[in-house]
Amino acid sequence: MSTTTLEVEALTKHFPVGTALIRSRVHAVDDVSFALRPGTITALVGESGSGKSTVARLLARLYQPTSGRVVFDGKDLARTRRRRELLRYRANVQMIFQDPFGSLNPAKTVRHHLVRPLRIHGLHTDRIDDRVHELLDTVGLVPPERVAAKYPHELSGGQRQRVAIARALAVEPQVIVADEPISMLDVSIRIGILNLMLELKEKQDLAFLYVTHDLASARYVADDILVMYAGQIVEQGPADQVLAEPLHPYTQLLLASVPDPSRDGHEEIEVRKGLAAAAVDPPDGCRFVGRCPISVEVCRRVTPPLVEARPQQSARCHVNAPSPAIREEL
Amino acid sequence: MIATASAEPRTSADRTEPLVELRRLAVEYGPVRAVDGVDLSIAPGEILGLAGESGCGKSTVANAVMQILRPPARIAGGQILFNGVDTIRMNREELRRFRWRNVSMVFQSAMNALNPVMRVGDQFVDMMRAHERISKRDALARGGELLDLVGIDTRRVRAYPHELSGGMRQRVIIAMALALRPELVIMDEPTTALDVVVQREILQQVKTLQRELGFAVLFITHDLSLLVEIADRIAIMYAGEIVEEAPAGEIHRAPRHPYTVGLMQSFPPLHGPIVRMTGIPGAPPDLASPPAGCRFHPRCPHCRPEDAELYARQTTERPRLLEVSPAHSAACHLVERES
Repeated sequence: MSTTTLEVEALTKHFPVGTALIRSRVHAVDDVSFALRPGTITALVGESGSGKSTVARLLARLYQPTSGRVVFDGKDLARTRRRRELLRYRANVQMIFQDPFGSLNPAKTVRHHLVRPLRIHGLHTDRIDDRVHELLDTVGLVPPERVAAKYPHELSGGQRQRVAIARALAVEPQVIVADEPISMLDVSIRIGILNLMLELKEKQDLAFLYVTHDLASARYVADDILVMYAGQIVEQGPADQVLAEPLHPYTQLLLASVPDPSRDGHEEIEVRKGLAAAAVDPPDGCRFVGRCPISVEVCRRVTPPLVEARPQQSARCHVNAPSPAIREEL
Repeated sequence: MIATASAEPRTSADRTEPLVELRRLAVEYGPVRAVDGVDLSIAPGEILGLAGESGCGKSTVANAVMQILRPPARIAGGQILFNGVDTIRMNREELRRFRWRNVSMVFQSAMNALNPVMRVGDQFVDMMRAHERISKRDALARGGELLDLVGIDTRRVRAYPHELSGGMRQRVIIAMALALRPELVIMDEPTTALDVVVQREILQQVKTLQRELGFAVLFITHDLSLLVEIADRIAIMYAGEIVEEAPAGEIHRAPRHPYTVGLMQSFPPLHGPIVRMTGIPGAPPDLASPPAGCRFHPRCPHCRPEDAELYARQTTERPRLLEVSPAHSAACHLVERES
């Protein structure tokens, strides 16, 4: 394994809700840890409200965490307010958003969008147009001279998302956090963006955090996968391995729910009602217990830890990935 | 004659005749022709899937069948036959009775279509009393039964929409769409805004209800893998035209049109080896000035100047939708030449 670029340790974000008398807290992200390595794509999957976008926003420093560390280059930057440190961190950790229509200024040309980050971060000021063309070339927008002069409305959704990627690349980051980058794009051009991510990871040794609800695309691009449920990572490991043999019953449920034309017949799955969304003041115990087909008594009492039950594959499940202590109790 | 026939369109349901038949349907938005010569039929009790990318005209087809196109959209040609009656020629009163009683519709954002300040039950009552002579009490009871049908606790008739989750609200809408026992339910991206687990629940329920009640479904989505699972037959639209039509399994196993092949190539599989996929280069055309000849030719991997004869046809002549095998048709010069 190569070295770590960005390390997230026990990251937690609680949002206060309720009145002055009844203070409650939404546990949007609870004790989330993972590492992003150069030249790898890590997928963060989950349903709406599971906390995956909050993790992305915490990494982009759009939110301040309640606790936990975000370590980049040996420094914890989770709470720093020093301008210079933040600027350096942001140059290294760039973000791509879901909506390629909303993230570009309609009154400005493509060139403007790429020049701005170069100026802000004081890069390549002498040969700025060369750099702009090089960036457009990298993301497959050719001929770059012509594309640079265009306005966002003259581009298709896929081309706009490529501009957003070029803008993220402008400051030569080491990490890119891509939050649902293809979900608003037309089906036939989604693969093109995924292939671009694969190419960038291979050629530029970038570390990606790919936030998505789409398991099939996660399997296609990702080396590692993190599955979130109600604010916690419930399973993690190599993407192909986790999706071939999921340990956690929630991962199994997600996988069985995805439309799959190659499935024989149309076997029905039993679905128990419940939400993957973050809980308000969750009690101890497994957060999936209400919907779990295999739960046992201890699941209601003790929050399961992430246990490596197979090589590199861990899950928060007392039944399929019991910790030594629980195994004894069972 | 049309008026008398349309007054009782439900009685003319002959099982061998299609329930809905579109003949050379064309719809224009000002100078833009969004649907251009679409032929399509739906048999009674059939689930027909209509797939394509945004802007291909699939939602316009749905709105035309429901007769809810609004200016600047207008039907520029063709017929929409419902049990043999052309709905384009219906007058307002006939249309008012036709909608919801014969055809109902579930939209993508339908869950936001519920009135936020009215209890769910009262919305059922309103809708039913607009179409039937039914007492408020009976309508409310029916509303409860319908909620039960879609797996929601009957007591929820007293709930306000904000007390229900997105998936539950979407099921309320489906229950409303089924309230008058229509022969056709149009579902336009009914689960696109929902999470996969909820989507799966709702699709299973739709399929069960469809088997029990026997209505036909026009199911519209961009998600081809979902359609392959739920639909009996699938039609693929591109730039305002149907380019391929076949039984669902066949679209999956043996697609013929290069666009369909490309679409199938755009969904990474959940099993088997991970191979680099290509998708489809380029982007769908601007319908204000569609490409000459085959509308897919600028993106088609089989359109090369080297094959001069084929290239000439591809770039100048519009391909016709021809049967390539029983119940399977495609509109492609290459497929036509090969078969």
